[in-house]
Amino acid sequence: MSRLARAVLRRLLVLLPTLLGITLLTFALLHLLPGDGAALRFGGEGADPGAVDAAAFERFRAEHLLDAPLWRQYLDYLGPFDLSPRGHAWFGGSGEQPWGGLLAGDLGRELLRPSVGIAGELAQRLAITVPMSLAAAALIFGIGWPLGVLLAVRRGTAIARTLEVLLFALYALPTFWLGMALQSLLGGGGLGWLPVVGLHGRDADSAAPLHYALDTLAHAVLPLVALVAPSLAYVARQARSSVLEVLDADFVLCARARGSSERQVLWRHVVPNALTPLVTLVGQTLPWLVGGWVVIETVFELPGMGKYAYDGLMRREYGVVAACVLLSALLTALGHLASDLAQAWIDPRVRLD
Amino acid sequence: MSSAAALLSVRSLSVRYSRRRGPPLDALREVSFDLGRGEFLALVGASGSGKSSLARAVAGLTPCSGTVRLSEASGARAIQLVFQDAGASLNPRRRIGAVLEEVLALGPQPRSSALELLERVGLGREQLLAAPHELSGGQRQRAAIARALAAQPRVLVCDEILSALDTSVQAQILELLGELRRARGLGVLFVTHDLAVARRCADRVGVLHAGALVELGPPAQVFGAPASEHTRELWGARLRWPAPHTRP
Repeated sequence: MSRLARAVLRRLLVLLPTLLGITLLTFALLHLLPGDGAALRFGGEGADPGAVDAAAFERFRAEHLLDAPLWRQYLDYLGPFDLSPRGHAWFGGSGEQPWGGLLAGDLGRELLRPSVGIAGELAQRLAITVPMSLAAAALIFGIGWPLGVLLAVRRGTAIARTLEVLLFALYALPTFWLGMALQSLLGGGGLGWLPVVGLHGRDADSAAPLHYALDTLAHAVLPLVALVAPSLAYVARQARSSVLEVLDADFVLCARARGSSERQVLWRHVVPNALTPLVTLVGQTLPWLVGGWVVIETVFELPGMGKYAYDGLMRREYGVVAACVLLSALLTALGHLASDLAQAWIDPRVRLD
Repeated sequence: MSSAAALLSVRSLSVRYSRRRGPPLDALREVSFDLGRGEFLALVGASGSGKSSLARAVAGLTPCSGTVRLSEASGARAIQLVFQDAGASLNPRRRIGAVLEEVLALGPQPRSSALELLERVGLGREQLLAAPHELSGGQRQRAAIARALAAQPRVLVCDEILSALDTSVQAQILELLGELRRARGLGVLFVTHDLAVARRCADRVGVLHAGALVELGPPAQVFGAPASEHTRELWGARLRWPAPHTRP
């Protein structure tokens, strides 16, 4: 096995206890919140106690182990044994459904909508969030990085200074505020140029494919702008700093002394070396984008993973929130591993030990 | 060195750095000297005396006033600078062979002469494919000299190139520079704080103080009968080992 394969394997093995710790922490934190899914299903905290079927309420809690000790609930969530009344006979269940939990590849079902499997719903939501995230990442790095290079090369000029101030202002804007400001300015209440809610118009399902695609694109513009703008500003500022640092390096002076043109100096020596630290940013952006979508999808009411996590939290859907957190944690770890691998590939000094 | 026989003629060279606060700093003030073909001119001085500014100004890497003129018609690459930190002066992402080929591609020499250049500085095929971080300090300095030679310079400006190397490697590098001077008539402007090296190896020694060239002459004269107070101070302050400690 090559050194690289061994290093990757080692990192993946370390990932397992890390993820286990994250599930434990998430589970504990979620159960510190007041109320549970059963209370919400049976009318919420403000429900008339006389109207609630107490027997059904208790039965629901027992079926979903909400009345069991926390350690038992956690082990049930972790799997591979189903510890509910219908679970494995070894643990006092009926044996009807012996296996379940994360280790059995089962993310469970929603409490309020028992017919909805969390894994299937999450996959549907990801089909919206992932393309949006990829588009956001492409915009953030496709614009932010060259912009940073330009700002470094043209440092001190009036246009560079103006752009730097603008980028700083963009970076300082909270995402939710920017989203709401864009909605007010460009939505129905303002200029009315773009739709501000949802991913499709009311009659999109009956539209021709081209119109459907254009409708989706129009709905995606504002959420993307709100998510991309602050991150783009951050990446551009980082790229600028990185390029400025390399511009002063001795090997760049050497390249100039040897007679290389400024274009050659920039593209052969400065940019490839300034790129290396930015590769780390790409890896770190993946999970960060998911976090950003929680806010953006909530503001723009997009049915993606971020909105699913937010709604899950509001409805005390432990399984939903835990699945979203676990996925984010997995993305974080894989993002870091991917950026380390990419760094080792582009920079011969970096070793993945 | 008469001006007529000079390979490199430096006249009234001044370097001024602007500062965010306070008046600008005159790092170099009206420095003039000549460098002959195959000559080894050592420039010594205390820290902050302007040695590195002079090296960079002569190599055309720092804005300056005054003139730096070569006697023979040569390209812009005729003066090459070798840096103190050879590791930092080599692109960390490029292999030594690629570094040399890039310089060769800008001149008349074929790219295939990269190995020849490395062999001339005592390196070989193994180093051709190595990245800078895979070489020792001495090998990196040799590779940096090879890269400078790839530009076919007439003058080599060496800025404290021995300071990070151990004594045996210092001797090898000095021997290499000697060979290059003899074989190619390369003029060497050798910036150093090591007075012993300057005294032993240089044809002439220049002493810089506060950006001005306060003394210039053969080592025996400069160190034996210094005309400048600053030279006397510099020579008097050189490192002297104390007597071995004896236990009572």
